Amino acid sequence: MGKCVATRIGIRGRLSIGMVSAALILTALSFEAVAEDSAVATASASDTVELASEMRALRAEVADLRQQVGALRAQLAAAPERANPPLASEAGASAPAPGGVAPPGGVTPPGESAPGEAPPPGVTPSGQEAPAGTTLGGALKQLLPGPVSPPPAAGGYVGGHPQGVIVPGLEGVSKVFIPDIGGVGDFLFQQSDLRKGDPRYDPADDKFNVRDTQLIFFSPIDPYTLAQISIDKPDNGAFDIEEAFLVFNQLPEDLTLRAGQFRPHFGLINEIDTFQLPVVNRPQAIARYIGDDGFVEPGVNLNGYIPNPWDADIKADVNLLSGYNTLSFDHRDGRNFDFAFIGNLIYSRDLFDSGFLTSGASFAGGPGPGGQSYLEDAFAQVRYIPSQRQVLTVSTEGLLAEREGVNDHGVKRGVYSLVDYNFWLRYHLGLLLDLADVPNVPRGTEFGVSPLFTYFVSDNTRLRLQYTHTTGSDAERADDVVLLQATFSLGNLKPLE
Amino acid sequence: MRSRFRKLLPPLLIATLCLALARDVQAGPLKIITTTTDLASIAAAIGGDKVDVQALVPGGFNADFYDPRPSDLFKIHRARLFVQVGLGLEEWARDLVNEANNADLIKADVSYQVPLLDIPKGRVDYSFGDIHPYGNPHYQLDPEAGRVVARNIFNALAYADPANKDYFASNLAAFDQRLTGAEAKWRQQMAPYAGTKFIPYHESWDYFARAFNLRIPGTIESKPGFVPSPARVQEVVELAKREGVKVIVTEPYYEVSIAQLIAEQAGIPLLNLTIDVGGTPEQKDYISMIDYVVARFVAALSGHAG
Repeated sequence: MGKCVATRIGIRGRLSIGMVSAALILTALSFEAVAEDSAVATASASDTVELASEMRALRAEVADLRQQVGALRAQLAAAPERANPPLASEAGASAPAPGGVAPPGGVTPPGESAPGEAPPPGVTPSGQEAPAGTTLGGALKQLLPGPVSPPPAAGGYVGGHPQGVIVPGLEGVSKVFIPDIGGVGDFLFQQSDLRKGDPRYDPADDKFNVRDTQLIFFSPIDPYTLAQISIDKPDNGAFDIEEAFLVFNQLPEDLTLRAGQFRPHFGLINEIDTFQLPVVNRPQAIARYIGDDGFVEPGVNLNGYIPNPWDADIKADVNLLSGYNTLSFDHRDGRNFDFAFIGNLIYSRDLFDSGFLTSGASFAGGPGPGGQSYLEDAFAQVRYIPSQRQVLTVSTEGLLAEREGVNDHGVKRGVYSLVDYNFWLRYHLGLLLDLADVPNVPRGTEFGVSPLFTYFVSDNTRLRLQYTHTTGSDAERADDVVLLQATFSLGNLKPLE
Repeated sequence: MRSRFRKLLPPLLIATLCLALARDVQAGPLKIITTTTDLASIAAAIGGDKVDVQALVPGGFNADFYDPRPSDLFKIHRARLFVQVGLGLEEWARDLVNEANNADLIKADVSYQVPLLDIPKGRVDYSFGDIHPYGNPHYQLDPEAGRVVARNIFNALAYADPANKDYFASNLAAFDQRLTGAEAKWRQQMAPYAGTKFIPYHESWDYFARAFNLRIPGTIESKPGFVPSPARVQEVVELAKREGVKVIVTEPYYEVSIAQLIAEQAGIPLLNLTIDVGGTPEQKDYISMIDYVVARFVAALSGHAG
């Protein structure tokens, strides 16, 4: 039995403070019981010298264990003070030694964390995600007596009316090392007045369609890099990787590098998915030359703020892309350097008390289907926010497209303007005016007017009704379409607004 | 002309981007960006003239559903320290921080060690509404939480600017002293109303209730973030009558008309209050913000104002 106790004692050095303390208390108690049993048993037999000696040794060990338990209890009692540093007024000292000694709470400099040093409570050095409360201090906090709370009226959120309930728990434990996961579903019903025989009529359009389904994964993958993958199933298509990229946002000189397949910044709306747009479809002014879903290209992107004497918010963004966009580029024309290039300059400033202006210009160039292709884009967006319940956004964007070797008959133009009025917290009214030259048609132009109404059921769910009336200069008769869109987005990785 | 422009534009863009390499050296006070004006006020009190503090969410706005501006990115880009309430209140902040092109940014979540309320347990999903899985983040009305936040901000400041740690420590002590004095006054003002019941629109008053020993039998929202149904409105009216509720409380960014209707039908006053610094001219800083709230509350409960 003594051997068994000795084995138990042998593990004590490998346990954490709390566990060791608990283990030692239990061990000491069981040991005492065992020792007393032994004493009775041996007394009734023969009072040999060996047994007396063993008893003395056991008693000495019990005394030693009690001492260790006492010391560990003292350490545990001191732990909250370390985790919750005293106020300056209480500590008097808080007057720390000058010269960058770690502040109360153990703040760790970025990239300089000493081995074994705890991360700063609540403070995350650059390049790391906030730990969502999974700190040693947080865990200790849960073990210690909490603040006095009113008697719980109901547990958790059962019934949906939690009131003043303190529910102990280890915050964030379930999220440790699991990537953020997002899901998107975009459903569309469309009904047009086109008849059979009209070249624009497609019976598949006037149906209920699951236009887009996505699964999105996002996570920091090390202290310097973020990664995102979107698995996408477009309408009538197969599952595909829409985006898969790394973001290096801890580079020197505050530059950010993105590499992989992604939506490059081009103009005002290319960077956002079609289901995230404030209208049902990408305006024709853009879609005619870039596509219904915009640019999504493999390549690299580098961006950064431009220092300037006016301290103005000017950002530059350059992309080198494969040039897969078949409407404007063709990367397979056999040239040695057949990449597409996109560059952007964006200027933003605050307007009014809480509004803003964003404006900029984008340029795309590269080998096209029959020669060089160039796209030039200018955009501006003004948002007026008198209150959080009323937001007026006016956006306009114009595009010039010149595609050599394509039967465009010169430079083609497109321009759209969109007014979105968030007139009450979850309700929006909008109007889209959309003017676009028609590719491959001399002087062919179409003009669309789309009033729309959007209702956000919640941050994650949106319903939209849009009517679009399109007229064309090429003697095609007018086209009227009613669209009903229902979209959800979970996980806040691709928000609906 | 245009073709010359085309030839020039790519190298021009690359050249301008290269200018970013000639990075501007930050000089002067430590730049701090906070999400809310409450945090900005506390940071300014502790940082004194050694810091330059700006809040992203204007006073009177709800940080829970703030729509960031492009300039917010630029502000974070130029900052050294980013301070947030945490607990999922500012979900929008993650992308801002990630995309702000600021490799040296220090992020501080000041909810650390705030004695939290309303931490859900068991399954948590969106069917419960816009709940905060790590606990209720509306802790700014609890002076004790303010004290913890101040200490957390001090820690972050002392880390970001260790040379001025003593200065920050003395400012923290001064802030703590002012807060303690104000808290004693608030407790004295609220003492006669201990145990009084009130119904808020949202779960933004739980910490206030805990701090001043008030009771909340329910909220107007049946699920956080969602406008109550007519049936829920009727339930709340009946609850208010049954429980002897003395006042209905809302913030201006919620459906004030619904709160008004409930107050009228229950025959009790409505308090429409901003609960953040800058929400009204009287709420100049963190202490005067709570001062204003307590004064309005006392006035409503004593029957002198509604």
